[in-house]
Amino acid sequence: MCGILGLYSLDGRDLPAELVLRGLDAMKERGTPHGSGVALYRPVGVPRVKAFSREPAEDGVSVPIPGGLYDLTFFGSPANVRGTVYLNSRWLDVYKVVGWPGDLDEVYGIRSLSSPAWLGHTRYPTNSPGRYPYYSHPFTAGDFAIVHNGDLSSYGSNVNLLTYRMGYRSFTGNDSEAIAYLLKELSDRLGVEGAIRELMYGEKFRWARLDGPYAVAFIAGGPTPVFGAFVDPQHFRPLYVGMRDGVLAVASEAAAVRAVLGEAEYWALRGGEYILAEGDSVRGNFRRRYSYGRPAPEPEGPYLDASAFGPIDLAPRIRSMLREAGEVRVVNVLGHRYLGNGMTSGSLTIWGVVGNASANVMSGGLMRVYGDVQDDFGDTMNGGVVFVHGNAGDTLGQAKRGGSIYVYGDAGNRAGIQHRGGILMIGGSVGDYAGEYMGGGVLVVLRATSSDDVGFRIGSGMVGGTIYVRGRIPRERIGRPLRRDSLERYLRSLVEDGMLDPQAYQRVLEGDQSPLTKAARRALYGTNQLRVEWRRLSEEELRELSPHFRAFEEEFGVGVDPGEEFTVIRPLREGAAEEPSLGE
Amino acid sequence: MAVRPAERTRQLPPVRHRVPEFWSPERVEYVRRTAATGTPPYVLEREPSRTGRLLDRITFKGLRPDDVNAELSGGGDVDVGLELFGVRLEAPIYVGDMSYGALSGGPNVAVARAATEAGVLAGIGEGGLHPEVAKYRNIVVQWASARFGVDLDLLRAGVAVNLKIGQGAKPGIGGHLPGSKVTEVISKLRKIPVGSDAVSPAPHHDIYSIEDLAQRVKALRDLSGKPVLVKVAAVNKIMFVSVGVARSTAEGIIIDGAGAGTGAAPSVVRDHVGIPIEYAVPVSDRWLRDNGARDGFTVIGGGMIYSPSDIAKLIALGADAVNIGTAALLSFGCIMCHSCNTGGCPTYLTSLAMPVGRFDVDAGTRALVRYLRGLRLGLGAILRSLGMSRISELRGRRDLLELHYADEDVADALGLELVEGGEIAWYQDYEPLIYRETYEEGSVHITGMGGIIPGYTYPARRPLDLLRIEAAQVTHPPVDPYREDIDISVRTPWGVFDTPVVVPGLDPAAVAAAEALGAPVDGSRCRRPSSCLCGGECLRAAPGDDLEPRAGVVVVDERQGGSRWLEESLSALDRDANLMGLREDMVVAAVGRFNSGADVYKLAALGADLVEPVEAFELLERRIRGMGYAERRVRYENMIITLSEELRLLMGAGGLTSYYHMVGNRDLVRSLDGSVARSLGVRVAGT
Repeated sequence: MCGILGLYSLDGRDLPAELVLRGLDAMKERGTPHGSGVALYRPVGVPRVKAFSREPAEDGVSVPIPGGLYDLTFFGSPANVRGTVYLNSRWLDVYKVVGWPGDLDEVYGIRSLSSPAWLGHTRYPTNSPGRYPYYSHPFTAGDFAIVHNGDLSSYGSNVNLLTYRMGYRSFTGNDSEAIAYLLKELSDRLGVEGAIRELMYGEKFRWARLDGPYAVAFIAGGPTPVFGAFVDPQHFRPLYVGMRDGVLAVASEAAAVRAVLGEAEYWALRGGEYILAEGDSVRGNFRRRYSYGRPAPEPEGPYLDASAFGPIDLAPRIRSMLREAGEVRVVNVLGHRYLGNGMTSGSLTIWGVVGNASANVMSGGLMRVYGDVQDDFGDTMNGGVVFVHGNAGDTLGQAKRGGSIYVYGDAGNRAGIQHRGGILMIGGSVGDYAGEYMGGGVLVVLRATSSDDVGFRIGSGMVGGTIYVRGRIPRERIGRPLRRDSLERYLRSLVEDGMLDPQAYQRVLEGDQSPLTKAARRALYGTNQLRVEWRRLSEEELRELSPHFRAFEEEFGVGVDPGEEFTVIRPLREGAAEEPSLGE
Repeated sequence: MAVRPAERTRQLPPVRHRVPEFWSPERVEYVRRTAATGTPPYVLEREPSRTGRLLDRITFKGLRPDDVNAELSGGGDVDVGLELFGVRLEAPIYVGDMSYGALSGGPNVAVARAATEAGVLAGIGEGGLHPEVAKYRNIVVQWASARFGVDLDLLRAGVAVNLKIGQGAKPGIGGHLPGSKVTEVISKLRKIPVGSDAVSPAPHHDIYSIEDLAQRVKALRDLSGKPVLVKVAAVNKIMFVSVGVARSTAEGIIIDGAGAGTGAAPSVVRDHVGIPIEYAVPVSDRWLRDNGARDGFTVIGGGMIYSPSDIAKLIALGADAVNIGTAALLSFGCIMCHSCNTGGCPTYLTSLAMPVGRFDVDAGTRALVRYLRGLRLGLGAILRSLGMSRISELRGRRDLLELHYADEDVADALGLELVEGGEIAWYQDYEPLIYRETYEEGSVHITGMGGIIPGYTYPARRPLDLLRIEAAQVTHPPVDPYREDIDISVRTPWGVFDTPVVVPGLDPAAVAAAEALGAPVDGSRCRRPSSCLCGGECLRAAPGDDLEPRAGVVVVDERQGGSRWLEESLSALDRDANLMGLREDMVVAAVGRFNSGADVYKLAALGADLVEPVEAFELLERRIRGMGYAERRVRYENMIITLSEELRLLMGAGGLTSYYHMVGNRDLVRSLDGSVARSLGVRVAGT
């Protein structure tokens, strides 16, 4: 659920609330009127205790808020707070409402605040009602405040750990609240970095592992505030990082980073990555990736200014203009969605960051983007040509059955998932699960504009088509990883029982699976095995790919030497996954 | 609409199953008679049932069956129709969503034609838009995870778009059509290469949360210009899903309950995941109202719905309309033989491997039109008896219903008045089936249609059977157990096992199979300490009140007798150990009459680290007794692989990727029965 935002000033200077509200507004489509909130670093020397209550307090500050409630604030250690406490920290402050982010200012006048560390949240409620402000983010636990985008499948387990090992007694059923508690408790025991790793992998504490989608940003109070953000290992939730002039920003959408920082360097965190900032130092296991910043040509001819349109109002306008004029130029695009969806002909040129789910069900015409495209670009594309002069987000070209997409930079996770026809050419690198379930067509990863390693599980579940990656990709990054210890244990046992002779044992280790039963093959190697070759392209392959290499070079001015070694990935047996047939 | 006089083509007799399921020959006959005459044999049952569905235990306050039945021939002063998505319907019915590919083509055309003639809606499923189906107005097209057949023409056909997230028969599970079935026609309609496997991913990979759903709903509306419906399975936490779908701006939700039909589903999933529709609908209705999201939002519920009284009760429970699938096939002559997935449908309804016969589209259309007329007449009779003139007056009127023979917890969860107490759970002892492919091929058993919910529409053997397993829909994604990581290894103080499935070490071949696959072995024949369940000190005890937490291995073994059900004792032991701070020092193994990956999953949720499904291995041992060592060993291996794969399927359905961390997570299961819920320390379905 939701859009999250975090800001941290590396030089300690104060950042105005205005920036947070602007960033949240750029992600309006990720939220609803059912919850918003901010947290900021704002020490007062004594604990600041805040609660929502049905009645005003006698000894604290009581502010009436919508819904017939009161927002109570106490300083020091109040004896008896009647209401739901949502903050108790000497370092942090929190504001949350049932409403849009703008309502935070309406109710609390937060626009006048400034701080070196901020969290912001706009909510799409999932598992607790969006009619009580407690359920809005941020959630706090002591001096930790978090904002979360996602929904955990491990909630019951996480609550077990908090209940039985950490002494927590009451829960509202909200999974984000549990993340706040766990982050605090695990940080106390393992340090902040240890806590993040434990939340991802659960190696020390049973039930500590967060399962399911999450992107989290947090602030930990202290003399110097600590700021951090992390993304689930599967990269089910997006999180972009940007840096400019000593300000670090993280947000669910690239458009929000741009809205806050302007022309900044920014990139997407990959699954399992985290970033931490403390004072002026930034650390973590993240890789700083290519950021689009090449000069774009000026529009030649009349153009439309996207700033005048809401996130989903631009697409229908473009569609009707394409129908009437056949040629459309749009500037200042910042996260506008669905652009070019259903396009059948004509030409569309875009300057800026193209929002999610664009170029979907496209069947013809030419689209050119000077900038990045966010997630789900080119879904169910049946035809047409697209050039992206920047990066692409996750799930690029899902279930694409025809046409061509050329991307100058990198693509995120699951590029070319279910790809069935046409070509998808990436100038840089790709994240995990590229070509997953691929059924046809060609995915080419050139690693020319960025030489980053590709992610893991490339080609997982492939049933057709071909993936070409320039250079030698290690086998363990391709398909399902083989657990060699399990294989050897199994084979040794067969040898012991006289069911496999020692020569055959060696042959199996070298790749001959014929002595194994079908079930053992499936259990040990997986359902969709791949044929991986490291070699130069064949004549026939060159004939097929050369026009695309040329198109790439002509468009982006980056040459490709087709004579180099490629990693070529295809299904081992075309159209024959070893799993039970499950129609509909 | 012209209804011809009674017509009854010769139909094969319905199958009578060894252990009775919901679609009994009597129910099949009810549908057939309605389809033959255009009038239901009766409208309300004589009295509430003491077993089976809640719908059969619910009555309308003050209505006498004879009076209602007499109203069948009453005048046309009531309106059972409604306007849905800009279309005026003659009855609140959606016939869906059976694809071309699941059905053999002719029935797809008959469904679309009958629905348009009778003034109801028909969902076309995910098989692309067949040109013969495209001729009919009242169709709803589908956008599903594999995008089969989707182009602009498809999206702009019909009256609405159905964004399919899941279905009742296999919540959280993807689809897989082998390349051999992807013929020229299927390939053209689905827009996939001929002969290539057609995989439908378990989640939509662009939808991992509610805001992603909203994004797709708006994208589809933008492209198609039509209302968008979201179809989901009735999962344990359906209330969150329903509210989320409403907030995604979708115009409606189709909730598909447990026991709903399917062309092919793993039986372990079909039988144990998700909840019946009559639990899901009232809870969703209440949550939607409480969150101010009910107005202008359409709720369609389905899953084992076949009669006018079913429809009326489901609407009174909170639905706007109902989804009918299996019953439509019954009107065509389906005999409920559970072999839809085999390509050998004896009535030519589901996809055929060989073109042995043809479905008569005209006769099928007429039968379905008459059946729909019968439902309409029956609904009219109920409305008249209630003194209502429009079906919308009935919606959400839970106050008009009475629940019999159930417990307070379930009545409270559903917001129904309980008039006579009783037990939902229905017990009977029988020998479970063990399917040939589980030990011959090492693969999970796939089945077709069937209304099998243990303890509910099908007898349970023990309280554990009443538990329903959670699946992920919309709020978070399921995980594909075949191609992505689901770790079922178990950490113990003396090492790591690759699977929690403990193998009884009676046969040396079983011991070798277990050791080869990293499964623990129970019994003195275990050869290596690292693979033995009781490598070191080990307490073996019968389930009972005297079982106390202690450090080390505790084997709860129901073969030793005991005063309580193992699952009750296990749940109490786990809770006590947690409260005493001893749980991390214990390894708990559950040993008993268990036979599937679902049993392993449920016992893990109640606190078992390791599970020994003794029964599965005993039944296997009986079948392979005469074989040589190597043959037996392969079959034991296959059984271990299958049980582990079933467990992974169920975990993946719920988006769980680590077995070790799910042990003791009672939040993953719900009970259909209040007393079972209390005794196992889990919540009742619908809460």
